[in-house]
Amino acid sequence: MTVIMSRFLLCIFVQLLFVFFIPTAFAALPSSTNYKIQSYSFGGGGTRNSTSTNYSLFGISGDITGKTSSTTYTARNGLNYMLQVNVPTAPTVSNPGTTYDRLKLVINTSSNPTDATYAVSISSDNFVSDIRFVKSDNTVGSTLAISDYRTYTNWGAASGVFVTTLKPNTTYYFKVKARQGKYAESNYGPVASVATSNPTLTFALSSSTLTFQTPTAGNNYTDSSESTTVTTSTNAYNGYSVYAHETQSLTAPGGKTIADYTSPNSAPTTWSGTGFGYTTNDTNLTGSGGVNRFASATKYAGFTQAQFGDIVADDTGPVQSSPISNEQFTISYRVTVTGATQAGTYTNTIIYAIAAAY
Amino acid sequence: MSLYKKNVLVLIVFCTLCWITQQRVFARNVLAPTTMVQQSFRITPIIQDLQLTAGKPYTFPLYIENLSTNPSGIHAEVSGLDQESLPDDLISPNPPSLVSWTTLSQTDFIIPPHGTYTLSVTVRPPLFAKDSGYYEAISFTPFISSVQSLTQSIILSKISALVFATIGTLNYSDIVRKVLITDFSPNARVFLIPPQSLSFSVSNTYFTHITASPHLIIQSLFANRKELLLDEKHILPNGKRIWMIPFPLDEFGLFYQATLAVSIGNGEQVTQTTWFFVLPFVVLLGCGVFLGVLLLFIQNRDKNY
Repeated sequence: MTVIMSRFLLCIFVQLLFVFFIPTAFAALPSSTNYKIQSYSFGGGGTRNSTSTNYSLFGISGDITGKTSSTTYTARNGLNYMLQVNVPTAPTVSNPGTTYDRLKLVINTSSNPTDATYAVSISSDNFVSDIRFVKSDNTVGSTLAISDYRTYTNWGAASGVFVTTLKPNTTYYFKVKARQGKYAESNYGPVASVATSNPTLTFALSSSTLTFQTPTAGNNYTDSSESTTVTTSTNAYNGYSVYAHETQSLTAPGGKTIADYTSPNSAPTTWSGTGFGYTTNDTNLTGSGGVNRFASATKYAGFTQAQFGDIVADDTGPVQSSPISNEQFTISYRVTVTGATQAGTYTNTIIYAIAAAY
Repeated sequence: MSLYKKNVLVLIVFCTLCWITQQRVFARNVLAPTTMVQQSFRITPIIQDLQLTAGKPYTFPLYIENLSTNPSGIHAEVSGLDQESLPDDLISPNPPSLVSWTTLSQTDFIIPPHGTYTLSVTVRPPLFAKDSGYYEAISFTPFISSVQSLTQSIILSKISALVFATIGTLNYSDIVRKVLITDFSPNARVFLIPPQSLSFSVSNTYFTHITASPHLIIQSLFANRKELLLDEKHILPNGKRIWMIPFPLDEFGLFYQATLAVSIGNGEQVTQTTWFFVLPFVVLLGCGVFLGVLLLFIQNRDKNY
């Protein structure tokens, strides 16, 4: 036991000797007859410097603008220069569809490599106080995230993207900066600007009155020669819808009426029997019953007297690259009576209501 | 006249006839500048999206242009967004109305030919107005100023300008929580043939309207990836809109994954993913035969042992 204890104490003593008394062998600081490096440490992710009486070394980690300089000598950026990205020139911005809530943006790469990413800043006052960013989903946001930096391809390449959620009748300013890798990012380039338009709708009817031929045996008591052409222009993103209704059935003084054709707008039919109805040549009509339910203006429905009416013509857009301009649809009427129909002048009022779709 | 000259003359006449015919055939949808239309109007702006403050009046102009060569009397009126005027795929209770807070500077006015009239619209939300979206339509209908024959039916146009308004501050982090993607089909997991269409609904339980902008990515094992930017739609508060699109991939892919991202502004998105297999009958049959052969092989091997 005594021998074991003494050997144990000896081991501990030797270890303590190495810890406290035998110096650690480190390499001497690099030096020559005239020069010696005083310190190995340097700014890691920040700004540090090493200086002597005549020389200083300044560097900023991750910054391509670091330089070495003294009163007499300056060392320019070496390899760092090669990591710079080119400042992108002004983007190409336009409003091809005279839209009111979006603008088209095309990035100019300025010869940056294909893996460079770009971020876009947008403002409505040329970056005085309104400074926002185009987000990765092409909406506008107040902060810039890593995900908002996209490659030229993801910015739509030569076709560009439409920046949305903008206000109408407002001039917007755009500028772009580029980034490559983790440490090379350019300043913002020059500014380009373009304005959104106001949302407008132009609507025209080809006539304001309707006069049918007198029904006789000679024309089988039928007239289907009358029609109204509706002409629409708009830059509303979702287009427009035209609804039609009548204020009353065809009514003569004294109260006699010609009944409306019985088929509804959702299920028009090939003409059969008597009544007053209409058809439309819109072959892509929304609503129940199928888009071409009027079968290219060969099937008929009766007018409704409900306030807003039935849809008789539409164009649901979307309007982005070009507005809807002078688009025409024709609503044709037909009236068929019998020889027993009481003679008289039957009139009513037909209202075509139009609104932008949303 | 020499034969050569006769041929040239015939050629000129033929070309002229072709030109005239083409003009008549292809000019159908062009409004000829000399056509006189009875009613032609332009309204600006046709859609308004206002940010209002409770207790603070707000005035904005509406411009009505008379594009015809006749003077036109206009009657203006304010109404709510009728259920009938809502889009077919918009499922929403009647939205809160701005009508009782709205006054027009004039309700009846005459616009000379090619003239413009500026109508001032003032909205006065009361101090107690709660945070919400509010909506209305301002409609313009011409009235015929001359005496009309009692032997004719009358055709009238009615153009409605839409007004969307919000009282309250938008918080996009809250909006993301209140917008839901539902019924993202196809619901089944295995198909014999690719589904004909994909559909989904987006519902909005936020206090005001939002604009939903969907982006769909479909990936499969063997077919190319496809990205689609779908139509944007406004969704009123407590409303729902439906999108339906034809299935975009033609090539066979066996396994498909569809990722839907609906942007609601400020870079915020609501996402959902669905997946399904397409196993044509031939593939199923082949798998069945293979499994049957494998089972037989295993059974025979066990017998031998």
